[in-house]
Amino acid sequence: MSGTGTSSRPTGHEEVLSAVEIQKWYPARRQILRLGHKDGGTFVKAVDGVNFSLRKGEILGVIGESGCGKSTMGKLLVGLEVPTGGKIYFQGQEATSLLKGDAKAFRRKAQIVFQNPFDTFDPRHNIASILSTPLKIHGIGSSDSERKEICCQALEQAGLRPAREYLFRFPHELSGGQLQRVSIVRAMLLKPLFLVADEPVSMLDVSVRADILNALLQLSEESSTAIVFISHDISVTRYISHRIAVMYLGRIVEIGDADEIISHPCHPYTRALISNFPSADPREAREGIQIQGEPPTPVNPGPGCYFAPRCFMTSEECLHSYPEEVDLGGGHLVWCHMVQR
Amino acid sequence: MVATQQTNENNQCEESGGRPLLEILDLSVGYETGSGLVRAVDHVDLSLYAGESLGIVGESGSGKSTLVMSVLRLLPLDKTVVTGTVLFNGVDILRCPQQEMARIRWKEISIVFQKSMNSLSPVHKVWEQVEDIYRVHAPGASKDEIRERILHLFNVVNLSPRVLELYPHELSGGMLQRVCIALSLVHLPKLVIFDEATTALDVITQGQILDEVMRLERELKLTSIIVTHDISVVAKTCKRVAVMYAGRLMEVGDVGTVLVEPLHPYTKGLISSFPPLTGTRKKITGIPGALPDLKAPPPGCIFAPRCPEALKVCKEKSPVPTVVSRDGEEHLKDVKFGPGESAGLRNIQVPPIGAHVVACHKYGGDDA
Repeated sequence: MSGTGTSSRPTGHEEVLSAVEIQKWYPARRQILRLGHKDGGTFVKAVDGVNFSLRKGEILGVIGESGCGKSTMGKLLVGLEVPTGGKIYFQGQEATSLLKGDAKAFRRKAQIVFQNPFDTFDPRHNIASILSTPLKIHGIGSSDSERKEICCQALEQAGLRPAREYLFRFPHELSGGQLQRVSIVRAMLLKPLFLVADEPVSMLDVSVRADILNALLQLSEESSTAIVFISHDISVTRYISHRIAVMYLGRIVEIGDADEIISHPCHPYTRALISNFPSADPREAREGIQIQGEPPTPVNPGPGCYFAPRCFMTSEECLHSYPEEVDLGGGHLVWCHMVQR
Repeated sequence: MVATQQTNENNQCEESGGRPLLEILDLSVGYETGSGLVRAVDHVDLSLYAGESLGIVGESGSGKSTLVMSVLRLLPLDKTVVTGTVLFNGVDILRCPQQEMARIRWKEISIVFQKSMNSLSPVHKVWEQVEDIYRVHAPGASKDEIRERILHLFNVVNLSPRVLELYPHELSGGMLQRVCIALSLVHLPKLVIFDEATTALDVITQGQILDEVMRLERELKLTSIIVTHDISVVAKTCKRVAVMYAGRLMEVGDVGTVLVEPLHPYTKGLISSFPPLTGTRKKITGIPGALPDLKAPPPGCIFAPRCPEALKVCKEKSPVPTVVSRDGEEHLKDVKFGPGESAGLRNIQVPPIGAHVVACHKYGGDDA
């Protein structure tokens, strides 16, 4: 079945990935920010203690404003950045040690698709070489002609027909939509267990966006790849994801079933985000919840809830301690003092 | 609707006698390139009544920005070929002298671009720039007067007065864009054009700015054009929508009609590529193919090569924009829009307010 934005979660309970308290703190220069103590130093806490796990074939959407740490998290998950704290487990094995031990095996399992397809490829390599190089590296296919055959099949499956015509073209000869397909094909050729798609459709025109999303869904279903889909577009995220995580200043503030998050958001931030997202249906008049300002730089936030300074329903408690996890059942978790268990 | 425009001090009531505030008549814009003329806007007729809000949607390269740029005459003269007529409040924009144009820009028609913030000078405080801009059209204005006006507008766009004393680099992208929106309103123009003005902003900032724009439309009786590729922005803010493709208008009508029950296959395709935010999940589909080469557009309907419903006639003859009634039946088939007698501009027929115009052979687009 090709992807129809299925709402049923994958039945296999096999856990592919789990992130435990992962952190990425970048040191901030004191001179610029005029903050912090003499020796303590200050940090930009791009990702600050994120926990989640992902099952085989599951798609997790990550939404949030720019600067909330979604892209940094994506890079941490595929090992492009090294976390400063916490652990990432791939099928029970710790990622950093996997990466040290056998980087090739790790890379085969975890792939990434970036936002801008024009920057993703070496302009001097044609599509055939772009696609067959990873196959060669990982020893798939016994000869060049066999590898070419694999590439052709993959291209055709992703809707680039006739594939032979594309093989000898260079990246600049393809449109953004076509290139993004090639980028997805390249990532999926190795049948990875896990894929990070970092804003894969935000640079594309609406008319090609749908096809790219459907291609991702289809490929994920065929090889049961788990996907972390990072986007700021809430309706696109809802379309593709089984679950949605909402991030704010480096932390997940709410996570749960995609439809549940959209129709019953509990965290005030999620509510503000969704209420301000315009719907394509003019009959659906919604009043946006007003919140103040924009997300601040995550330099030593806290000690209270990070969202408290902008929140429209703060209490005294919110300013003093970071809220504990509240389990609303059915995997819907929220971190807010104002939400009743 | 009687078009009544409240302008600033010299409070003139514009009696436009039922004529639209802005009339774009048979406008074509071509870009001269080494290998031929690119027809970016091709025979567009569009009118906008005072107090209306019009959204222009289309993919990148559909000519929506070119269209609004030509209304302000911002295109380079040596590289473009512009034909047709643009009437703003009775003034022939494309033929009036430069001085007249300079008077109209910002005072009567203002525009906010996607990256308007880049137009702010990095070495001057916001206040100095506000003062400068204000005095272009009101040379004798006192500081107090300017301050009062801009602070009122800052309040409207949710900025603190403190911003006036800051340099642009001290503000975030969203705040700068708000400064630019406030600046575009300093002279209470009759028409404001937002050219992807909220596209680069975050969801919450965008939502707030769109809410503010809608409030301004009510409070200041603004007329606005919102150019965007995102139909949800139009669905939220506009009363009317014009769907553009490859430089031609495909469908024009009320947002509630066009976006809910689209008639043109392109509009249908565009809408079905947007996943709904709520309700049941439907499979979304894209539009196969790509924009045609505008240097050598295909004969017939420009959308025919990608159209799933194309007939034989579509590839041969260009459809004529036709007013249709709600149920999709032809309504005013014999009305052809565009300039009639050479100079008799007063006799031009414009579609009535709220008309649903479709350029498609399936809906009576054959030549009348």
